[in-house]
Amino acid sequence: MTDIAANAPGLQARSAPAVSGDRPRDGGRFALVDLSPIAGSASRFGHLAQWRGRALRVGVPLLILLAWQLSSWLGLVAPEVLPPPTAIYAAFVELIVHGDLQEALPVSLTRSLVGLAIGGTAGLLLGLFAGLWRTGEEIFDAPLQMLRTIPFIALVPLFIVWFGIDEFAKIVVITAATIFPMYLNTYAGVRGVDPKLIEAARTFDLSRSQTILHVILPVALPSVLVGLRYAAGVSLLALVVAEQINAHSGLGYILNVANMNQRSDIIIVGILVYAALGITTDLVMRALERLALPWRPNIALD
Amino acid sequence: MPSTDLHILAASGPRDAVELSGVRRVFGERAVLDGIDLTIRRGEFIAVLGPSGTGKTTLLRLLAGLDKADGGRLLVPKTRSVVFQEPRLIPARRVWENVVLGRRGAQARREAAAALEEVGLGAHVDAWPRTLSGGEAQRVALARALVREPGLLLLDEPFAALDALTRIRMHDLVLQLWRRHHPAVVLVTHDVDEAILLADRVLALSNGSWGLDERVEIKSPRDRSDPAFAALRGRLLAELGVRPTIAPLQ
Amino acid sequence: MIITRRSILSAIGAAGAVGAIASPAVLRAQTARTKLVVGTQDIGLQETVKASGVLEGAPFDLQWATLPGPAAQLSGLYSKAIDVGLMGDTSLIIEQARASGDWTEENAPLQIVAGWRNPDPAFPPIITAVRNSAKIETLADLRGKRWAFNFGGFNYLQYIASRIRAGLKVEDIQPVQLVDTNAAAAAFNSGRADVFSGGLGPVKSSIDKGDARILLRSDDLDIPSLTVFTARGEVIRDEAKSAALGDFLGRVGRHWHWYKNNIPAVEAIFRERLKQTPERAQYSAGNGFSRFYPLDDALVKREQKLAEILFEAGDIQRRIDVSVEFSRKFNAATSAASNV
Repeated sequence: MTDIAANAPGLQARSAPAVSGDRPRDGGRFALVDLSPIAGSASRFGHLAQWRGRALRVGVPLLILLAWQLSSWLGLVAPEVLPPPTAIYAAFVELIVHGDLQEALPVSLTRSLVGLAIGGTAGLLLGLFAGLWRTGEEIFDAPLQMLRTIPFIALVPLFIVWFGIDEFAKIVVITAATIFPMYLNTYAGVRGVDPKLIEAARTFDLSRSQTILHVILPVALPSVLVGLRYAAGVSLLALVVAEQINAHSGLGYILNVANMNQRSDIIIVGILVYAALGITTDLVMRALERLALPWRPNIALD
Repeated sequence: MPSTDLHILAASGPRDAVELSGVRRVFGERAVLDGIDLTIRRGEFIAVLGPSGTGKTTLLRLLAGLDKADGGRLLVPKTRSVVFQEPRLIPARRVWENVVLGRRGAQARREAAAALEEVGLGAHVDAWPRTLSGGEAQRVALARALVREPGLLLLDEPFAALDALTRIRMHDLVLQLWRRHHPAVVLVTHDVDEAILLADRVLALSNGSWGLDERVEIKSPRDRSDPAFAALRGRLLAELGVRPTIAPLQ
Repeated sequence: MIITRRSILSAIGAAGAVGAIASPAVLRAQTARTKLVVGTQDIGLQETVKASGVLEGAPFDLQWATLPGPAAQLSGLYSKAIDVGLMGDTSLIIEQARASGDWTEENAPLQIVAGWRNPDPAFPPIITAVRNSAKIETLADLRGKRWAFNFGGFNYLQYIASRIRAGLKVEDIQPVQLVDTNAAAAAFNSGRADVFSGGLGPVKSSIDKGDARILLRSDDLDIPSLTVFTARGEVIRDEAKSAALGDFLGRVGRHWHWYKNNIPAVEAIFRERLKQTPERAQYSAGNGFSRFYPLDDALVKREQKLAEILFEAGDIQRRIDVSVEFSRKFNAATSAASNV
């Protein structure tokens, strides 16, 4: 404490006032900087910044689209390499006119949701089990870590042998893909609960099941929802693999057919549909988080 | 080793809340508690002083049942509550749910609301813990401890993280609550003034056993400017091996 | 395992989740009629057969299954999920060589029951193409070039046979082995590879643009390059199923007569259902016209030669007799259809 006091600049200056005059540099230390808001200019500037922000947000993508289209018109990029935006739009219209997308979305979304429901529930239960009981961790962690590294795309023939060629096999692929993200995040969430909170619960004579119900699960919920968000994305991606197994329609099916026939324009439409679904999933999950986690601050960094 | 277990007290002496004899707790080679004895009467407020590492918190954890002794005999009341240095509130539960943690329903909510009213937080029944200030959160922790009507209230440096003004208000609140509910209290602190202000009796651990056990005879309400207060403070600091060295600035 | 699968399936079905999207064919399976499950690698053949109307009045129930790639077809056959699968005529050579014992007429798990291709030499099933930029004038110029192909099937045989014809060893070229013919074609079309062996369709755009040309056709190398239907041994031995299969093959054969006279309709199918570009669809429609070829001694002899090539190249570990891979039971049905 006394050491700190001796080194404090204020004390030094006070104890040696005579020397301060010999150090003209010191004058800089006290030079004033004006931080007060200047009436009018700030808000005008703010307005400008706002408009510039909006213009950039809309303008930059438009410029990219324009450059993309031009490079195709000028023959700089071959259409097989990267089809121009007009061709992608035409492919989109083609898919709509033939009813492919309208047919694919309900079919694929149902597959995704069923797989997500089963895989998500399994991952949640396994994650809770492994998170709460060491035995559970010992039993399930290694197999689930292995599940994560399975290259599902290479396993399509094996999945056919095991699970057939009906709807069931497709659901199994999606289920298998969604278990792990749910498991991992639930497990991490449960393990991440501050042990001090669990200790506090112990001092209030809460039973094990009460502690799980009232302390661990609510505190781990944000992490579980992160797992759900991730699993939802994976359930859509897994369609590409699942719909290689005797599919007649679906998003993954469209992409696979386009791939077989070198239709890069349709593949890019598929990517855009995926992007739209990703954004939708994100919005739904955000709403769900707001509902399920009213206690969490809505942190937005801007 | 039945003697090392924590015994729930039906009260051995009819007026005692806590009875420890020969309690040992060893970490590696070092006996942090080397056979200590301690008797606390019902409703008695004791403060355990001393710098970090002297075994204050170990003692408190043994009394709370969060840790097991390596030897000796411990008798404590069945209902015990702890207020830790941090509030340790469940962020995902509303304030009232934290107070009656583990219980639900209208009755539980009424009890929680009454306890929160007592600590001056009647308006925050439905708030989320993250919206509270440090002092408010610690008051919730107090309400949570008292709503169970404990025979023994354990306070583990509960005011250490609070600012000086809030701490003064908390001292008054704790005294008020103690007078109303009258549990036996063990306050672990490193603040000598706090100990003198609140406790009937001040103890300090040194090398695993009691280095000091002194009754505070100053009348309530206690005042730091009271010469008796200053005298006791000086004596306690001296016994703890600290001499007041900071001279006022010239 | 089947019981488990069924019980799980029914559990899911009960939840009402899958019921909504289960294919109608599953629901139709209640009847006592013979059911034939036929696998194809895309929906092209399924759609043209359906459109031709040859299935009308069929005395059996037909269920199509789309499983891209020969590996998926074989898995479907081995797991009995399908009765008949579609693949290249050489796939069974590798299957038999991988099996632990020799196949016999009695125990062969799989047999080819029919084979077909486009009779017009203008539509070679498989080719070896070279990019003009690679300056390959003669076969000898293939030395040192990057050569894209995919393993398995007659695409691979086209690559080995082309290389052998050029008198080159693997070390003499830069082999670029990719996962399937589409990936190999993409490498070739984008100029990342100088040589390509495989189907003409995927590289046709490069040839049409004048960036590449055909160096060798499968016919030049005496590769039959038939597309075949492979059936499970039990299906061939089962009286009802084999009768249905013979009937089915006859109908497929007759559908090519319709096909030849309805090229615009076929083009529309390739365009709309398979999402091919108009140019590609036009080519596919012309290319897809086929006729059955009898599974006879002459064919077996040519196939046997391919097995020898694969053995010499080290891609199969033992010499096998390929004649057992061909069931001649359905020759009558297929030739009758071809002669209509």
